[in-house]
Amino acid sequence: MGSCLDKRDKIVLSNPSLDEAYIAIKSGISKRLNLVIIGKCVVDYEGRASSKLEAGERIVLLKSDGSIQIHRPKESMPVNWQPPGALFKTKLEKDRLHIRAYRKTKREVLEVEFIYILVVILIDLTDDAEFNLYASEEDMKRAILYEPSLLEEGFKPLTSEKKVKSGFIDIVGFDKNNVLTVAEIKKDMVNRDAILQLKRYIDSFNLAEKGKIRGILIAPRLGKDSQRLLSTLGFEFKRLSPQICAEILKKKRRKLMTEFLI
Amino acid sequence: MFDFEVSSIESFRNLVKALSVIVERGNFLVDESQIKLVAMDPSHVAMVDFELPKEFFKRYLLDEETKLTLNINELLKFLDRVEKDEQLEIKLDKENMLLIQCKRGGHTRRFLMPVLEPVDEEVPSPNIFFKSRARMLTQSLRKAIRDASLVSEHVKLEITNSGVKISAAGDMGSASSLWEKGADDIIELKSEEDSNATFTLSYLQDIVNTASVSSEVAQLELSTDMPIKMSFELPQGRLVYYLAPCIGV
Repeated sequence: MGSCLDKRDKIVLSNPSLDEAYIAIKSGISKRLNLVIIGKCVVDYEGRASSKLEAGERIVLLKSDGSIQIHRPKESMPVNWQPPGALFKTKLEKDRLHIRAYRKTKREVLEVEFIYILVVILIDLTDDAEFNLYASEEDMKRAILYEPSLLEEGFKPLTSEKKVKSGFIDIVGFDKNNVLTVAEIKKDMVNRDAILQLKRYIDSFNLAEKGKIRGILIAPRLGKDSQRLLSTLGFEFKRLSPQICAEILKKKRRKLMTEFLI
Repeated sequence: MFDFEVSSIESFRNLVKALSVIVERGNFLVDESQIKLVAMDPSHVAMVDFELPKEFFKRYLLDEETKLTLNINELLKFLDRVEKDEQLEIKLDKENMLLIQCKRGGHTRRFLMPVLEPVDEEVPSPNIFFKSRARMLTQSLRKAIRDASLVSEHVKLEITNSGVKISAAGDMGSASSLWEKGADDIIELKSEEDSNATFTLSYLQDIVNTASVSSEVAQLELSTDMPIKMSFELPQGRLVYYLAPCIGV
């Protein structure tokens, strides 16, 4: 058995006895740590259906939100799991270590019965980062600069991140009729704040130009209460998903045959 | 209107399969001497240049030059139903439907598929001067690409005066095949300048897998970071692919 501790709560037990593992796991669950337990176990599930997974060596993940997943050594998906909010009960009984996860709302019980344990890791992890599934606003902007027709056919970008009194405009360019066009990108939704932000940008142009400027908000969707304000201010909405932008950026590294044709 | 009888269903089906990995909707030009198709894949990464001369067919009757637009995957579905010992006839009828007719021992099966609206898509020729060339056995090429597919989504091809190398590397390991000049599998090798380029493996694999069924020898032409030209030698006809490179992967 080996263990190491530093300032944060972290315990690594290698080949612990079931008694040692029991103490560590119980304390880890109570402290809402993340737990990785690797060992030979039997898994029983009772709930909407019932299942029994005979003994095998598996990776069990207990996360700080009260979710549990049991992974076999192969496949990407867990073979059994419970979503966040399960209640855990750990006990030692008949030379086995039992971890029982109970989901009140659905009356589901998942019970993992360890015969032996190879590794236990208890760790307090911090991860507050935002998860951008496809692309950030910066990526969306890069995709439009790379492929301006994403905004509209004939659009010619002039500059990006143009500094004006009220901030930085995402993209400034000319449309196919050579009308100055100012575009603001949002990765989630256009709301009233975004529309007013675009207005402030356009207001920062001088009066002679202002009448001729097109204002376009680019986002995957337009908020329900935003349509009227958008029309009142004479702005336009262009639907564009971060997913498409991510695909465009991926393709950027791949050359096209059209670049080599006569 | 035309009326063809195919002499070898296997060869014909394999060629159509080789086109189907690149082209969804094929604009064929059928003239008095051949069937021709030049097309790009929908994402414009690959291009195919295909010709099948009238000598390939047992019967080749044609009223006038015809542009024929077909969904190639649909055509392939019908061709997959034709059995080896059936007599295969392909006709264009007055209603602009393609008739695929299989006959054997007094039994006739008929499939009708629609001809699509032609798309005016002139595909120009690539303008590339290739610095290196290697003729090699298609099966060896296919095996080397399959090896590479174990470790990466990209594959690097190198042709120099000393040999041909196909390699790939990823976190899971690396794979490479090296043929020295004079190797049994290399029929011809010429390089004015060492050339290498990297390609998306899935495209290359699809092309080589399907084309290798119809062809014993492939000629690869390469220049650094330029598209590769792959000419698969056929008993009759022409099957040439171009594939654009990936840069900085």
